[in-house]
Amino acid sequence: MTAPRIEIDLAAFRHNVATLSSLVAPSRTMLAVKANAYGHGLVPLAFAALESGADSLAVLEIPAALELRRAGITAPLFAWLHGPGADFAAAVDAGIDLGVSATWQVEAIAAAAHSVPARIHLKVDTGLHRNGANPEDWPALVDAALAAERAGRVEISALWSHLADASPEDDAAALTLFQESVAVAAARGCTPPLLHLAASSAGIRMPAARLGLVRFGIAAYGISPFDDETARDLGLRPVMSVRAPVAAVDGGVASLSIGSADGIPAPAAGRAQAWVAGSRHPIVEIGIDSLSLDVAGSTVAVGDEVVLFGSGDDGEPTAEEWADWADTIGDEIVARASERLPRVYRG
Amino acid sequence: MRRSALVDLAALEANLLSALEADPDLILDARADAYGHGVGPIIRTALATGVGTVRVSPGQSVLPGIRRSALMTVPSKRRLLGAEAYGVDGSGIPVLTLVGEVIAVKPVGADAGVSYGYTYRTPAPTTLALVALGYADGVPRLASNRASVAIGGEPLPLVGRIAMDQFVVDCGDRHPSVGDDAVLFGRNAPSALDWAAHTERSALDLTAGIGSRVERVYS
Repeated sequence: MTAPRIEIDLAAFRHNVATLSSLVAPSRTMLAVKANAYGHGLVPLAFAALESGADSLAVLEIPAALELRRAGITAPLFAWLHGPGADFAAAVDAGIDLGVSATWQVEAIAAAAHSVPARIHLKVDTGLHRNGANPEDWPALVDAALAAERAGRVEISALWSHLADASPEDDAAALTLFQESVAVAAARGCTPPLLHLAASSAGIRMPAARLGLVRFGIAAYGISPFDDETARDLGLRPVMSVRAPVAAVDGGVASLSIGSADGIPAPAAGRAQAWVAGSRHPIVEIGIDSLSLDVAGSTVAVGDEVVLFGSGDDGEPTAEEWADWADTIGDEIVARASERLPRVYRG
Repeated sequence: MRRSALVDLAALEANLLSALEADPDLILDARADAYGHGVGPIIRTALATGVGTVRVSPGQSVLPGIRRSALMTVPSKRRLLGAEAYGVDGSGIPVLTLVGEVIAVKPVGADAGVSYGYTYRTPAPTTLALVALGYADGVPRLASNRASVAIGGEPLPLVGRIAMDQFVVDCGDRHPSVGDDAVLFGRNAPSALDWAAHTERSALDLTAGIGSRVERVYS
């Protein structure tokens, strides 16, 4: 009997990366592997992405980028969320591209770049209101970056932003604001070779936003970024499956040694289903480290393998369905998948 | 980014001592890595405080430096002490305090949409703080537009959709600085019970879900 585990279908992931990168070519594909590759495992997914159509990786923060460098990845890496304690010197030494939202970051990066200029991507806020310079602060950010570039401390490699996916109209307005910001930068003498804006949803549905590259994330993991089309509809295949053997059967109830602490969302109890022995069964209770399944009238036995979610090919639930049951999005289902359980890579 | 779960072992000890007074035979519930508090330090403190038996999840029954006879993995008729020990029962001292870092602060006008889907629009000109914790760290997305976060000791509303690695706080007329602490729950902060209610799970489910990017800091 195999223990609870998370299987990662690298063939499905490669298929998705190849499908998405072909869709947006000649725009290039940067694959987001932040948050431990959305729970799938950083290093194996990073290599698989680069083998199948991505030519750079987005990692969120410097420590993850350094981990990929230590694993032998030489492709461009992009890190864009930095606190004041960020180790910019290590990032510059490792050749990490840095997203920059504020002049304090330009100054700290310039001060850290002793050996070679730091490659920076300047971010403008086009409406999401997270990081990125406000449009009124954008000229000052561009000027600070240009000054650091003249001093040989940085190289401005790109201008970028991130969309809110609120509506096609809102995203079109954000694209317009981005283009205006690019023009503002150009008028000040800043014309880097690369512009990027789109992530999965705009990468698929908004060709005008693809620009130099698309930062694909969730779609590559086989989860739709849309609520009106599934991954299957988009020709994408789920990558993660969560599996556990039946540990006991008593009075028509099967119990499993996997629970909410493994990322199985407690709010889904009473709605969620799992798949075992060829059919779905309702999950009646989600405990902290256990879970019970109503298998009354079935032949389900101890040792049978239960799929909590997976590809859907044989009728198993998908992470997208779990997202509906837990009133969230598939991104949270996979990103929260147990850090305790082993990942088993196939394909 | 600083992401910290501050674990106050003296608070655990105080909670355990008052519970042991009522029932010296109780079992401490330390399943799921002591509900995210870290099974090693929690069990060592509990045994030193006079707890005789600790319940752990299967697979955590062999722990270095802890006598095996003190650990059990199956239910028992004795009282299982959970929420009260960790101070998330409404009366004990909270043992865990979840702290994120403010990494951007920006003024915005009225009617500014915030985060994915623009599910929140600022009712008036305000200051927004970006905090580097998200649902990948175990901050449930269900808390979007529901929970509060303490910045500078003041509870302030978490607004817009929580994303994988970050969320936004509407600071009104307060002006936090980059690098400030944002305390989600625990000491001098909103209660884990409030967060539990907002996220449709128990408070111990919430602490058990805190991810590995969050550093456990013991004191």
